[in-house]
Amino acid sequence: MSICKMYDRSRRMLPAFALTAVLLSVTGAHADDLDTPTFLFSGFGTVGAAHSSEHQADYTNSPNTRPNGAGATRNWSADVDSRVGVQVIANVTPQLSAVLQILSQQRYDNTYRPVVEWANIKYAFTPDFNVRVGRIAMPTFLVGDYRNVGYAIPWVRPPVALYSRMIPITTSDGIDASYRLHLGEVQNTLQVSYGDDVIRTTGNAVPSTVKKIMGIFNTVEVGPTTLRASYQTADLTIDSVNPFFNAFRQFGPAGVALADKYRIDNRRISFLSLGASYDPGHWFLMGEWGKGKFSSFVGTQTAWYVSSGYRFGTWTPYATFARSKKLSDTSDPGLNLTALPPGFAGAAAGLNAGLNALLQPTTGSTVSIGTRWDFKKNAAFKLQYDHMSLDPHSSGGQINVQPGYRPGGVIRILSATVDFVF
Amino acid sequence: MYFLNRAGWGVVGFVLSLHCGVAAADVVAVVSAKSAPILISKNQLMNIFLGNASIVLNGEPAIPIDQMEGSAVRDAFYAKFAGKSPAQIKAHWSKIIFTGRGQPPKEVTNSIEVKKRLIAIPNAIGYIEQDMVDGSVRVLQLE
Repeated sequence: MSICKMYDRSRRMLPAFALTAVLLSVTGAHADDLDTPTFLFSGFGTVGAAHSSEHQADYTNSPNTRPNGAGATRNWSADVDSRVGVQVIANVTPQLSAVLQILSQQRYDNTYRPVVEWANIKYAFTPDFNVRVGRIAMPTFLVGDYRNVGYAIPWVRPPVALYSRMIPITTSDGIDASYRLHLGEVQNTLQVSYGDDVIRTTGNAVPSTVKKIMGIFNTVEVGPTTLRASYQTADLTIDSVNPFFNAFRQFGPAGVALADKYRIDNRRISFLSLGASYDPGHWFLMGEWGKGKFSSFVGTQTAWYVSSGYRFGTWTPYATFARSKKLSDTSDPGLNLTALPPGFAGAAAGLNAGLNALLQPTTGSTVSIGTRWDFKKNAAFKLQYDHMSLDPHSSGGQINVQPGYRPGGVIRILSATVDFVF
Repeated sequence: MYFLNRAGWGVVGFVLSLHCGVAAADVVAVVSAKSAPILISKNQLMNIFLGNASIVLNGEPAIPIDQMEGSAVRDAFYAKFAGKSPAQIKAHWSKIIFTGRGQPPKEVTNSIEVKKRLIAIPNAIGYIEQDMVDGSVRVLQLE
């Protein structure tokens, strides 16, 4: 179980202020009416409802940053997929531009308070080489940096096993550079980034921090084929679990060893992903694989999916198969209770139970079928059914687990959304 | 899934028949008649219009001129050269815009306006209906 996720963007408004200054400084009309407009306002959103067959836990699209979802809390939840984003791009000169994107969706505190998702200033040295400074969404996956724009993706939501449970970093405050190379019909885009992030998780007063996020992302495009590889590392600190692991330290060398093995305090994490897609127009086939290494209670996990769809005019039915696997331990004997005096054994048993809850896998396989219907020129309706077969002892990444919940088994999710852009 | 199967397949049949029935209006890619002849591929043409890459046209990067969203000529252009529906083009630009990677080409209202821009801007590239071709434009021969 990874505790990390969504970032409290409101805590770090500096990029937004810097950007506002740039936005306000943009003045004057261009001479030619074919110049790009000075400001480009646009927006996107999703209105959705999701239902889960499981009544003893909540299904959500982002387990660590959402307080509730569909299942135990509500039969049908609008919070799983609904969101709205607005954006302005300011073109200062042909080389210099700025982007500010504000996103509202269910947060860790059960509000929809808007947060700054993108806020950066871009300088294009050439049409193929640019540098951005500010907040940048991480292009970790094929649809990583536009995962929130439902209209631009084929499914109700990107495969959760890979996109939401593997790596907590979705944005980075820092710098990135992108270089595009054209070799005949082959186009190669190399992107590198460096930055920091802060993650607010449900039920934790202390945010998690991610420092020194270094990422390298390479995309090769040849006609309808896209190949992608990415690798990133970062130093992750999850302070909210520190009191728990500090309690282990009271139990001598064995307790200290357990705390050091599983806590995340400035731990180097790494994530590798590979993806490919083929989209000649009337159909698409895509797949991605990722491996996250967190030497801590989060452990080492892999996840992959393949997805395909066929476009019949305005309808695009699709099917996806996703699988996730935890390679590291999913349980630990913990402290040896027999060696402890009776008074301490009870406390140690409680810590052992807590540790095993942290180690509980979220893995399983999911078959999804659905369809997209482009019923209007700027809106699409989607209907999706997910059949999740959880691994033994797996929670499937569900939250709000009730006392009557039994891990493993099957969960069925039915979701309907309307995605729009404006 | 009963509902999905029934509704899904009914619609599939309906949409298939629509899809195959419509013949694309003949649309051609054009530059100014004063421009030197150039030879580009369908892929290069689409890279220009979809913001992926540019080419040099009369010494400057080519500037694509799009037509209005929802116009028959625009839908025919992207269907013919990119094999993409209006919704796919819209989704493509959503992806580019909301990642701050670029902005769509300027749109003009009709093919007469396209021709005016081609005369005024030597590095402009556009598309018009075949029967709108006259002495002011050069039709691009695509590889």
